[in-house]
Amino acid sequence: MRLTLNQDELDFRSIVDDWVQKNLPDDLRQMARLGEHLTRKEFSRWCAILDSNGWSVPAWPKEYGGTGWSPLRRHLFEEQLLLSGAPRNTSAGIAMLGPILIAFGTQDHKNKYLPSIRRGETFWAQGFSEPGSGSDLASLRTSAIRDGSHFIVNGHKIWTSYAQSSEMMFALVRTNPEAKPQSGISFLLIDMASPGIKVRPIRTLDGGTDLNEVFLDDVRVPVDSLIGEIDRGWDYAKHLLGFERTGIAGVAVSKQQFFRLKRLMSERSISPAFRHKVARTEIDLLGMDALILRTLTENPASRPGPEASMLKIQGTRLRQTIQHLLMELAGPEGLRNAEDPGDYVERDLQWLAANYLDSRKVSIYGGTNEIQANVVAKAVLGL
Amino acid sequence: MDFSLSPDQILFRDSVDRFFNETFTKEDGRDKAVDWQALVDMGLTAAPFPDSMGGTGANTIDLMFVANGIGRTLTTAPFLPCVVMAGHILRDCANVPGIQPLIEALTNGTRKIAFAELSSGSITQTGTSSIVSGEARLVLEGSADVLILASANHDKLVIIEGKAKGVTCSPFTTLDKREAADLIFSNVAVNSIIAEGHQAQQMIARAQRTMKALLCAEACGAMQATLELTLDYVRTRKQFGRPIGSFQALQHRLVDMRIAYDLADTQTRVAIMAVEEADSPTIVRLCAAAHAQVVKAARLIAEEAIQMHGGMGMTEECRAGKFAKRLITLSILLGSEDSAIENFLLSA
Repeated sequence: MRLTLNQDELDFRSIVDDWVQKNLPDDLRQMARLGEHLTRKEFSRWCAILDSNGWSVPAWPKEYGGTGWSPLRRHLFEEQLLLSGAPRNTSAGIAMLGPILIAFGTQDHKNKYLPSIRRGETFWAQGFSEPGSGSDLASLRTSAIRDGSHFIVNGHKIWTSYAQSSEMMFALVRTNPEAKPQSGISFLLIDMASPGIKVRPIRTLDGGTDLNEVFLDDVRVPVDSLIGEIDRGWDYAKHLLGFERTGIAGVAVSKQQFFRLKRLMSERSISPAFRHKVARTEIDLLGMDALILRTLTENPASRPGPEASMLKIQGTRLRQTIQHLLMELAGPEGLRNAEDPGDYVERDLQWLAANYLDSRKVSIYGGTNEIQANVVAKAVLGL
Repeated sequence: MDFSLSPDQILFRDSVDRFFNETFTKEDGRDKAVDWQALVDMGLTAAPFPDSMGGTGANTIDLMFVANGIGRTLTTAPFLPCVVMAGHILRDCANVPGIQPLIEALTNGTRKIAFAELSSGSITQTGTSSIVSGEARLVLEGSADVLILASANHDKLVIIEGKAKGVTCSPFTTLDKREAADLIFSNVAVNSIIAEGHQAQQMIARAQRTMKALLCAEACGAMQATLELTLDYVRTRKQFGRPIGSFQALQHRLVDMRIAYDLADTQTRVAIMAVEEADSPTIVRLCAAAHAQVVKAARLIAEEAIQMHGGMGMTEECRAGKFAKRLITLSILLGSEDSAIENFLLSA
């Protein structure tokens, strides 16, 4: 047990920081600082810049352009990027599809799709949820029926991030309606330019339009877009659970937002009661950080497990508390509509309410906190 | 931060765990002298002292495993008051004449030594000797053979024989069945001051920080055991034809208990590492953080354990209640969550 990181890791952090200071464009830095909405265009640009240094897909194996870093080093990297003022570099392609293709795709799939994800050129949408299938994802009904060298896909996906600006979608579809819910599902790659696909944007509470509904009407998908075996898509999707054992807790964003809170506090007079609440939250933040580092260092050889669900529950609570403290700090000045804030808006406060509202999603997506608690009760507590 | 344990630490932890599990198998009707002798025989009373003082040179991380074991088995033997609190002060004063024999007596179990501080009254120097008048309340293991007594502002430390003329000791047991006492000193003559001024204050502060971190570790051991026994209970207790642990309302609360425990235990480990290696402002800050989490988690786990045991949880014979009492006692000894947050703020 040792309190401080070893010198190698400390050096690594400053290497990352130096690089970000030299390579992060000013407009992206400004957007990240203010918590503005980033669009696909900005994400792609930042991903390409990271790729120029071999850093856009750190979690992938080296042979696919990844870094070969340990989980600890990857964690330090993701965190340092944000603390150095950069936006996140996360997309469904990098975080979800990449690892699945690497584990279950054919060589052709890998050659065709991985390089353009790595360079930020192709954006992927995740077609999992449906209007009737949220937490109970395995009840999904979008169907794919074999017709010669194609599947004919019909159905309705929802909460599809960046569908409006994605070239491709990876989707879970039902290929066997007779089988048990989990065993009749397949994993398909679908070209968003295919005839029969309609995308309808969903406005979210924060004013964002990242989410969409995707309607699929007799969409023809070539059979070589099937990943792995037919009817086994659920297993492939499950491979992602716990793939990132700690990223799901979002502690890097929480730290970044907490530093934003401290920065804003330093410019204002603060009541002792508010300071007390912030200190309580800081203690929880220190705890979250330590829990993550404990997960990464105590048994480095152990496989990620259901403990990740506990990190998600606690990490998202913490994040939401910090976003609420920011709103409370801003007071009435934070109530201006971010897109129509008036002439005298304080730029630092403009996006706070939107960020607060946006943060309500973190306890819903990726498995609601209630579903995570069910997982922990069963798999960790043995209930 | 690196939470991995060295092979030596794992070996030590496992032998300490085995010792507690095999020795302290039940909570009731224990003989306190036998329990204390067991700690002596295991070499634990020698733990904090270096080789040169006849000790085993355990560091704070090793002591954490011992404190975990005490909490997990609800041991009442006064390891923390005598070996940790008094022991650390003795270690820091080892060069003062007369201290080395006390270290030997504590180590070989012939004498118990406790630490007390005056809540009122004073230690007055008169030439080569001093006179103590005043009182010290709720002193853990206050009926010990020897007392290390601090003045109210910690600027003087003296050694007093428990049986010395003018010392009145009123013993009692705490909520969780540990020995304590109120002490009244009326014109007690003491030979020498073992430390004074800034040096005494530093020494006491250092020992109290270590004590606090290890009280947190004891609470973590008790929380771990409470969680385990509550989980066992909800898995087996049936109502409406099924184990009550199958009800989501209880499951989600048990998950919250586990998260609270994980945070408390992890931040306690951070505090322990800080005590072992950091400068004092960092120690104060990280100990305050651990303290806040432990107190919050201890109350949650103690109260939920009673609730989930239902009517049984209210009975004297139920183990959940015994652990709850230990957890509440430790929380109060540590101080409130709010006071921990204040300390955290002050250390910034």
